[in-house]
Amino acid sequence: MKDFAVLRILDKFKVLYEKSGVNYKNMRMILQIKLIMDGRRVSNVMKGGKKTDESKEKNNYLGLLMFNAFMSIFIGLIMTSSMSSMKSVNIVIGINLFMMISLMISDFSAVLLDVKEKNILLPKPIDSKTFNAAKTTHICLYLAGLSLSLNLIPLVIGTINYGVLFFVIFLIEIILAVLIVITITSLLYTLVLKFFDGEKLKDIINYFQILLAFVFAFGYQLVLRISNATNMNTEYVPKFWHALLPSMWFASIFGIIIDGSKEPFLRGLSVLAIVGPILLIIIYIKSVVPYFEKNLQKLNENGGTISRKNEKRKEVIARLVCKDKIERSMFKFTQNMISTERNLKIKVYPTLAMAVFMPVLFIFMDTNGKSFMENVQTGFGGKIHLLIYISIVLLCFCTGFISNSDSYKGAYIYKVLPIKNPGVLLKGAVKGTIFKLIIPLYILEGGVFLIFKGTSIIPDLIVMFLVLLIVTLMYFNISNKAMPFSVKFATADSGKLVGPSLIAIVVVGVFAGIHIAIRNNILFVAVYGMVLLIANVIIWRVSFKVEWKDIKI
Amino acid sequence: MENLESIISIKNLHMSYGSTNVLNGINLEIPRGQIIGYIGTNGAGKSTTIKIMLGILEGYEGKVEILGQDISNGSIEYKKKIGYVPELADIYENLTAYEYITFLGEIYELEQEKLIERVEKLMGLFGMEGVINSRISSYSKGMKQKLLIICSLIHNPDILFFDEPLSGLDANSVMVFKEVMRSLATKGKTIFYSSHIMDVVEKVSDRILLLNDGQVVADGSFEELSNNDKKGSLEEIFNQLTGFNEHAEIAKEFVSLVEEV
Repeated sequence: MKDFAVLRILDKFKVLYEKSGVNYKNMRMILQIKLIMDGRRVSNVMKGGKKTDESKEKNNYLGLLMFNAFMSIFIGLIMTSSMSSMKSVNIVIGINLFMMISLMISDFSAVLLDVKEKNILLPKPIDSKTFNAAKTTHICLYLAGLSLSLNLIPLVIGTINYGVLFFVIFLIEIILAVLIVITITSLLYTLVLKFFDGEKLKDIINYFQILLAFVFAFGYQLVLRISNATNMNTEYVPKFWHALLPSMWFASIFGIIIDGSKEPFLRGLSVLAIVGPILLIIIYIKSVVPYFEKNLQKLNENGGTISRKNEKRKEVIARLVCKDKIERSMFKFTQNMISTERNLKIKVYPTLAMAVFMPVLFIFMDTNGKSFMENVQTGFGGKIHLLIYISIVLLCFCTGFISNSDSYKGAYIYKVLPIKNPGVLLKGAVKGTIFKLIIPLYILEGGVFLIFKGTSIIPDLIVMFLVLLIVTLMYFNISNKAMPFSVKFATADSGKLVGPSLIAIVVVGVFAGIHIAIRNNILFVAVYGMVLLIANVIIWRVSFKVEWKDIKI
Repeated sequence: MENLESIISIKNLHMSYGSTNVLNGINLEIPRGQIIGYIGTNGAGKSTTIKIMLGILEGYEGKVEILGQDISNGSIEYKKKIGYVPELADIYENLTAYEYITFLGEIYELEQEKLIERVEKLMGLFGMEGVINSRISSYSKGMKQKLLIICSLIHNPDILFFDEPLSGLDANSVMVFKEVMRSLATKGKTIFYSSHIMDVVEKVSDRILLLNDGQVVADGSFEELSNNDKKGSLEEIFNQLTGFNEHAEIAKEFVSLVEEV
């Protein structure tokens, strides 16, 4: 079997595992097969008999790493500023923790919350300690990779600025940060698991994931603003709550060693940098995991019914937007699937939440001492509502996972049912997604800006909506090669969307650029809107001309 | 070891998921070399009992001893002596059979080369040649089932838990497998056979356990059960003991609903 370089690195820590009572040999075996499996995808049901192409064993994870490395260029810019090394590291690690927790929630929750695996492994002579160690290490390996790639450029720039010592400390720190990420996430999951059970629990975890993504986005934003804007170059003033920020723990070491601060409080914090993660992971292994695993069983319980209210309203909308009967049923089917498919929600909802709040975040960021209201009225040259373009990019991302499903095996029905034209199915699915996820959020967002800025922005809102429709359809077409709900979710799935996402960003950028340029002339805006409307009609007409033979189910 | 000693011993086993009780006091003593037919209605608690014995489910009340070891003490020694064919073909489908077997071999501490050779022969006997290096996800349902059966036996275990092991097997393989079970039992292996196919249970089992509402409501050989109830087949005994006698009416209504297009 294939041996992995990471496992050979892991071998160096063998003693550590054995000391804590893990059967290292078995754990290594489990990890090895997990890594092999992660490199493969069960693409679909229909291909069943054929042997899957081994060379296509390309890894979405690699894509994700590359994307992170790209992102790290921007994070690296922070290191080039005139701030002290402590402050810049604080910000860098803060961004890091936030990004890794979001990724952990969207991509690795499935690994953490998996219950099926127990049925395979536990009847074998594998004790639960080894089983859990394998699970934790599996996630840690991935997170370590993500952490390293995210910090690539900051690490390089820091080393150039501050020397080799920086390199060593920072490298160790970003690995330790992984322990914090995994502990915090599972600690929070454990809390949820404690209070709820069964089907309800799965829903709650879902909402919880969204909330979590928020808390980290905003919490850190706030913290950065406080520590950043007010005292960019002044002396560090210790605050008690700094002890609660893991990024401060890590940054404090640089404060002492590189900036030469003699502040005793920092010394205390620097001890936390080492003790904190280790303590957390010990708590995690000793108390969180056993409890967590026991309660995880609840996820297997089924029960609860889904209410059938709003059926009439859905029917009316379906009749309005879909002429074709099959398209109409696909429209409703998609909406129902989205509201029950948990893995899909985990991937999509945090992005959607970001979509709503990103513009607000930008408004906060650019205050320049003005009040919030004043800023909404006049900020960005009175074009502040055009920040919705940021939301548009994020909103269109949610169509990227429509081809995935946990119950991907059910996709055979497309072939069994008497359906002549598969394009109709795709069309119904896109429309369903737009109505279920995108339009409600766009209306919310537009509504908020409407209240603040008045009716004068209505033409802009209409233009942006038309752009949204075009981009969403485009994104759907380039990111989904299969029928809706027909592909299994895989670890590190987001990787496949890196390319389409970059394209979407560029396209939205172009549309937004034109819009900003012509915005002051209402006539131009009207013409622009007309052009977009016509473009929409054409694109929606031509996009779904597909035959069954073009589709790989 | 002599035949009378219990190889599985369950005393007053209770289990509940939240507020619903699944098992309400199960008592069992199973000696070596028996084939136990474990039957019951859907949701009677069959799989729960098996999962508890396998150490997948925790949080039960009562005492479960397997091979003389109380399984709640966390030791995994007894698992080296048990094999399991799960009801839903739970297996790492993205692996090839070779990779999966190698993995199991490491865990059971078997000698790899000999193991692979043996497995290839075993697969051959089940009519599965040349697929050991294909991914399990490409297997048909029957092939997966055969592989699971082989996997449950590679370490020559003393106790076997078969949860609906025949699902997907063709008639010829079923015959082979039934004969295999018979011989394994005469060699002193204990087989815990859970199924809904009454004719098979009736034929293969030395002893039948009927579970209803989380309790053992019948325990004995087929002859003993049929003498008590003066009924013909196990199916009829099953209907009677689970209090079900309106199948004809239900069927009639079912069909009339189907025709109401």
